[in-house]
Amino acid sequence: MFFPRDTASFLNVIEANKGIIYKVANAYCRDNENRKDLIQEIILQLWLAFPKYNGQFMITTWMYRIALNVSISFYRKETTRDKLNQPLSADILSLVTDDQPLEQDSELAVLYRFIRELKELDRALILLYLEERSQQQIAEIIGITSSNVSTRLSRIKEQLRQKFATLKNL
Amino acid sequence: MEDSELVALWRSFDKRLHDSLILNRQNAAAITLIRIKSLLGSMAPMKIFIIAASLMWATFLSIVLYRTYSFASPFFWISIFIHVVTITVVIGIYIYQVVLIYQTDISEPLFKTQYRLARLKSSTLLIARLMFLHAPVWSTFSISERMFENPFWLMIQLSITTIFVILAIWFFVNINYENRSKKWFRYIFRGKEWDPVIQSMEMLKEIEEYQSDDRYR
Repeated sequence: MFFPRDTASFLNVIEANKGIIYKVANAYCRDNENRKDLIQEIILQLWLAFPKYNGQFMITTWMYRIALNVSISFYRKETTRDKLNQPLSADILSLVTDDQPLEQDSELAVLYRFIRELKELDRALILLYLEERSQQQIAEIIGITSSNVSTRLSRIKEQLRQKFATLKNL
Repeated sequence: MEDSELVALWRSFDKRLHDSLILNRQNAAAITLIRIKSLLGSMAPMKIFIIAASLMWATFLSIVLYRTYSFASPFFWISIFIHVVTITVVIGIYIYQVVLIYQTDISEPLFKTQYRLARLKSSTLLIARLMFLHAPVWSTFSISERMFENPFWLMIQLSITTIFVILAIWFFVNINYENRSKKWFRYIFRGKEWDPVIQSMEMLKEIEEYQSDDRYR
């Protein structure tokens, strides 16, 4: 699938997949202010890479790759604000009930906490699993074999199961 | 909590998120007007500057070595020669880093991009190790042959150089990922410029774990 390279098309792609950006940023950045910066950084990097998107992969695969790569490597709180000459005053992505984050729900908050405790690549894997992406798509995003995805996911799910079990027994 | 419960929990979160997440199109559009290079691209000019400056320095010293070959003190000549060789290796590492910067594409799979970035950052530690390794030349380049006529100065010089050599070799061998938690290591490599280097070494370990899983399959 090919997209025109204009701003309107880009915004439509972001609008249609805004949940991806929010959920990835939330998994790698707990602090609210830092997360806003990270979301801004991800959208900026998506925009810079947008002209090179060639439709070889699904648009979501392309978005997950960039959002995860930016979240893991590039984001540094100290430098991000300096890099943007025109820091944006308001949020790009916001929740209707911004004073009440959605993950206040206790089980979801615990799940997010456990996800944030995982190693960075493992975190990406479980996030994609929870997003119900196929093993093939996860393999394309991460860059490992499908069988490795399966093995790794089993281990991570086991870790999560044990953490929930420990929490229940407290 | 079972897998199916986890997925169901995430699905309900996804639905609520879908209903309440708003994109501020005006602010998102403002981002598309920002004139900025990609983050990686912005790293390249400084490295290219360092390469150019180091090349000029190495060239200048090579000319000095060539011109003074017949009459310079052997201590001066060999010390500067070792320094030039070290600088040349460091230039090579910087060129390797620039190549990695231009090869890296953040829309490629995580594994490929993160591996390149981790190699890029951790190679900075090799530069630090080489700088430590060649430190003794700063204690030897000014030795003059007259010093050998005075046993007192000779002893002082020998002691200083020996200490430099022992420390240089020790640091070269011991600056590695396994020692990252040691107090002396944290003392030398602290601060925001070194934290990403240490993190990148951790990332390399994580990637190696994934690779070994694939290898033994």
